[in-house]
Amino acid sequence: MRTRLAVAVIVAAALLWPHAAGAQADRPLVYAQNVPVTAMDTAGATIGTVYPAGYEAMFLIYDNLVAFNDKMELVPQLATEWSVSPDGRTWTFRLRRNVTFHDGTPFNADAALFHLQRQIDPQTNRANRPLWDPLGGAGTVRKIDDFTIAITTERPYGPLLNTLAHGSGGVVSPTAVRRLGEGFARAPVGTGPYAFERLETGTELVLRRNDAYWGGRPGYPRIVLRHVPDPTTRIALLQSGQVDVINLIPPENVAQLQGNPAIDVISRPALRTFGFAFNLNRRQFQDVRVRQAFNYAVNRGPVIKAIFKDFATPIDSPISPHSVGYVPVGTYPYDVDRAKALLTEAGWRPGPDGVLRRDGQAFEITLLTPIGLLPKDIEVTQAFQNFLRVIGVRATINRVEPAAFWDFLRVPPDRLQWDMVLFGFNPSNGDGGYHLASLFESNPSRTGPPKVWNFTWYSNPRVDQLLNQAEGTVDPARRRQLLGEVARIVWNEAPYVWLYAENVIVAKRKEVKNVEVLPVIFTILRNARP
Amino acid sequence: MGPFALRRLLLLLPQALGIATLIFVLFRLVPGDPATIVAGPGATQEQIETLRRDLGLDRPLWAQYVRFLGDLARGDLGTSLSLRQPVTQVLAARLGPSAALMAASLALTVILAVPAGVAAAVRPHSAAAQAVMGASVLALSIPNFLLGMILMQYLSVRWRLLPAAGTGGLAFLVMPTLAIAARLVALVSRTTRASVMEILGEDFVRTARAKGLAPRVVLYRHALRPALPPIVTMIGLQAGYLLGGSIVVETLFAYQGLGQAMITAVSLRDYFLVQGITLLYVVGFLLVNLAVDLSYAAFDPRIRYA
Amino acid sequence: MRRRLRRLLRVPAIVGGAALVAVYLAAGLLAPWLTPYDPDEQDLLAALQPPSRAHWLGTDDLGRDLASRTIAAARIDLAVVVVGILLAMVIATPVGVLAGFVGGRTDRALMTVSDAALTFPSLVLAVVLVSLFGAGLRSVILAVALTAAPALARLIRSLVLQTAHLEYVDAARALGAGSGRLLARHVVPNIAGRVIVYTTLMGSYAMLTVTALGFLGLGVQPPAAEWGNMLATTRTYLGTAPWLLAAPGAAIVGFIFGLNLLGDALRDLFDPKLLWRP
Repeated sequence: MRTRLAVAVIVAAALLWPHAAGAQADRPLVYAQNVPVTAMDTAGATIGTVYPAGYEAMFLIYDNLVAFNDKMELVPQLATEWSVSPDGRTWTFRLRRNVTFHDGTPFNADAALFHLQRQIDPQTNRANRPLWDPLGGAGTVRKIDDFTIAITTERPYGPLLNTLAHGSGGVVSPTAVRRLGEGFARAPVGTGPYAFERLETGTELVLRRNDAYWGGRPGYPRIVLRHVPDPTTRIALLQSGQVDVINLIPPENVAQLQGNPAIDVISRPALRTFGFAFNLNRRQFQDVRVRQAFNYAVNRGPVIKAIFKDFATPIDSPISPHSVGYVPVGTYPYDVDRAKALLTEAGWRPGPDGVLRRDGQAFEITLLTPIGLLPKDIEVTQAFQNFLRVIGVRATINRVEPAAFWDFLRVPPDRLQWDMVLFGFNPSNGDGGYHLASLFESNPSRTGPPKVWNFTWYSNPRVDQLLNQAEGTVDPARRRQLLGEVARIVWNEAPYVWLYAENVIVAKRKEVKNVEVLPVIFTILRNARP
Repeated sequence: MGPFALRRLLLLLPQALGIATLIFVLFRLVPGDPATIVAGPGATQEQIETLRRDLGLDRPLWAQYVRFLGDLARGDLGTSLSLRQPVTQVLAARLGPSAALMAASLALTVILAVPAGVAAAVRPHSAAAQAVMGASVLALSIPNFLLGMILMQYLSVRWRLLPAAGTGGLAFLVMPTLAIAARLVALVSRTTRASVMEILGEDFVRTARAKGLAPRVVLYRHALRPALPPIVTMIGLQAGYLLGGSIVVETLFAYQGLGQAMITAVSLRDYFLVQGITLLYVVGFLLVNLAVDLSYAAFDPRIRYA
Repeated sequence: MRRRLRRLLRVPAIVGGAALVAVYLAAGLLAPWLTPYDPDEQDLLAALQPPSRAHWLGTDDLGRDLASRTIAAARIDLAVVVVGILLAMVIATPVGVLAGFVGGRTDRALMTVSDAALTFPSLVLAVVLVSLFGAGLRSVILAVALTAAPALARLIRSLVLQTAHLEYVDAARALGAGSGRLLARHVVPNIAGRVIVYTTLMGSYAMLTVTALGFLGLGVQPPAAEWGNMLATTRTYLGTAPWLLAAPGAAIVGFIFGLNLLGDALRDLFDPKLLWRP
């Protein structure tokens, strides 16, 4: 008897357990992401930690002056038209009228200037410096009238619009920033189609419809960005209808999802390129022959076929074919003999156990990889470890959780704890110059962390010079030439074992319309409607 | 409440203190400098030193211990560095799902195992009894996460009956519960069978039957009660398995309870959260053992006044 | 002695269980010669193949032969369990014998420390130990040892308590036998049988712990083959490559089943009443 009562109580409790997104009218749009959103300030060093979730949230909360559309073309958003002066240094923007921030304050030139100055000043914005530094220095931002501003740069800056369209170009409410200070990152205020409602760190972010949105009524009463780290769970939730959109789908599950009539799979070649970065502070990696040998030791074809199910392409440049400024610069075909020959030339000889030795020291290295942050990270690392074994290098794998991964990269050279690390960079402003500069421009100082993502500590004055020139060139053809030269040098110096560019794969339920997936990895839900 | 129960309850305070001390000692055994580990690889020396001061790690060990106890008494378990929340908040959020899972597993066990064990005791050589005993041998040989994956493969992937993973309503509870309960059902049904069989051979049962009482009445009203202590003991002994099993099964099913939080916390080196969850588990274990001990008093009057 | 052995061999469960366990031990010892392929050898173009003539149990996500990996994993899993339990015995035996034999304050002190470990559910303790000392082989062995030792110590203690005060032991003591001699010639041989039985049963708990830690990513790390971490990969491919479940799964179940069979039957047999028959 008592047992039966207990059973009844437990069953009742379980049934009353809150269901996720039940069948109500006015359902929110639920987007399950592989990493959580933790901060949403367009200015700030925390952006990198929550890639791409943080940016995807910010594209909903903020508007930019100009934005990328589905085809990576630059279109007006908070700026309605613009022009550039003949000397290429002054850009004049006319601003959209009758736009208010979520806190009711008006958007105007003062707000735009506040935002721009905040991003340009390295004291208030420590992230994405290569995008904003060119607007600093002797550059100015000026108010012409209440709805016109002018940006003058020290030198002509070709990708200025790309910078404004970047995730860090979201316009913030000056009133809210002044009021909240540090807390703004967790209670952001913009002009975008969805306003911040609440954040449960590590679990979900809830945004509500901005009824006063200038661009028309947004499609959903709410958008929920939910952190679901496990891909099997994301897929299960999508198939059962509990979430509407999911990101980072493992290639092996694509066929299964494509076979489901209720689900659409979106796959687009992305701008992100992957490789294993060398820690160039390690003596054994300072010989270019060793680095090239590692490049010849990898058979990229089978990796792409077996691990990515062909949802990736081998690269022939450090940057993706779809980035601005791309030029094909070379290949490293799979050639184990050549790899071994190069290593012998560099002084390494196989020992009795097959492992290479030089001066009595065995060639043993550590490979760092995150778990589940980058597509197929563990599998690729294991495959790479195996390729190294074949040429006589013994590698051990160190795995870290996504949240801790970036901390292992952004440290001064004497604090690097790895020999090689898997890394993929996505130039989210679409620009190859930005990509090359972020990874290969010399770091200003060896006592602090890398300036951007040059954690290999690669340094080549010629490359720096060319990058500098390219930045100041507005003519696309000339720029491509300069960037091509940089790419060629870097490719041959091989600070990375170059791998592939993957497709970004996102899935959604059929009834959700206007989900845009950009080649810069981001899923844009601004225009989504049921 | 008899003297036994009273004594048992009074033991709680020193036991709690003992656990707190044990956990304190355990978490200071970390090789390496705790401040550096907690701060993470990207921290500057300055940040590490600030953290060391904030956490009181620069004070002598006894001072840290006193502070630790004081914090505990106030209900302050520190802050989870990975989730940026007070540990108590995380515990509160994750306790519900885990409790539901454990309660469901226990309920399922009692509902299935006790009747099965009784039936096997009453007719020891029937096909049903053999089946039950055979199945329980198998159930004891399958780790819960393996069983969970098999269930996932059939119930979710093949037949689309249940969601493969996640937390939420009843549907998400079914497979995790089955995965954990299987072993419990096996052990409890065996214990029930053995215990009931022993009681059924006793004189007083024969007397009851001779008096003309219906077999079912004899069984449930007279035989089952004295058969309960070993069954309850067995359930109590499995409390540790229930807690430990929930860690693995929750992780398998991405079920957002305490167990899954603990594994994430371990991989993120979030020591305060690991410590907090461990504390909660150990306290829970303690309370279950207490409940088991007190239930002996309820069953057997002789113990009540011991 | 020989009579006892013959009696043991008449019980089918003991023979069956022992045989099964023996097969595993043989597989573990002979693994390097039994594996058809190198367990670490990758063949990316043959990744995720179902069982075929070339690969009897199929291949995993990196094209490694599943049969070879399962056999290689037997070696690692068994080694960890054996070393872990041995370590537990090394720790528990002196503690239990001292506590039971000497009694008094020593007993209380030793049992307090031992019981302290028992306040933790064993997997919780294992996870905590791994979190403190880092994932990997050594931590798993330590976790196995420290979760098995307290119960083993308590058991040895109660067995010693039973034995130390039996009549013939008292007689030997009265005849002037010293403690050491008593221990070595009377106590230990009498309890050895049952200790071995319980150690067998602990072996199956240990295997559950090792594979659970491996599954959680806290145990033996890939690319080393271990049944638990192989099952972790299985999870990702459950919908697309279900054969990944079969080999390591069956391996674990078979071993634990055999060990349980053996241990249960031995326990039923080594009842005290039987042992004390001269």
